[in-house]
Amino acid sequence: MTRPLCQGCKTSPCACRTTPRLLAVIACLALVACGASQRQTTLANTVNAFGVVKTAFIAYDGQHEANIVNGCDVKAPAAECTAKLAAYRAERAKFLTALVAGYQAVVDAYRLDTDPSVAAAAVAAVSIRKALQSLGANI
Amino acid sequence: MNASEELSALAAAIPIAEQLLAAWKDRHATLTAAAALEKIGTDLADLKTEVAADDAKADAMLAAKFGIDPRD
Repeated sequence: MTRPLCQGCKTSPCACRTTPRLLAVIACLALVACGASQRQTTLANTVNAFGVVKTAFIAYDGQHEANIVNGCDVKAPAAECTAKLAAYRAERAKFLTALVAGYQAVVDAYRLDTDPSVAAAAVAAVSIRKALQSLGANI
Repeated sequence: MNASEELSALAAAIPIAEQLLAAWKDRHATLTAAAALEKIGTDLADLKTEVAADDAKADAMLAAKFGIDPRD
């Protein structure tokens, strides 16, 4: 990425300024990373942001599983409730896979220290956001 | 991927981060980067522990609600 693009992010309504979504911020920061120092800062911020997402997800996960069980009709077969939990966990697995892939992309970016590797971490962040949207988590 | 498999996948990711952290420390010794990579390992371990705890709690709730033995 070139420096003008970095400056453009500060002056134009790019995603990191128009949406509160944390992962959009990560994607924007990663896409405008310029130079080794800025890449390092971007990656450090990305790790911190992933940590915030992880913490928020843990809070969501426990509450959502409890809500599923509490919402089950006790007169219905237990298998129906088990199936609902399994369905949620299957969707959750997609998010967890995306999050682990995101962390892996950040590790790779630290190791490679190149703009393409930082861009790949940004792509992974977008995948995490999509997986969160699929889960219905309001994070 | 079932819950057990996803936890296994998470567990598998932790040593990957730890190995890369060690390699990074050897090559660069950059405190900020090392701390960030260490945090990744901690985050993944924390996620694995918490998700497993959430599952155990939900399974226990379900068992209590339907009067079934959670070991079944």
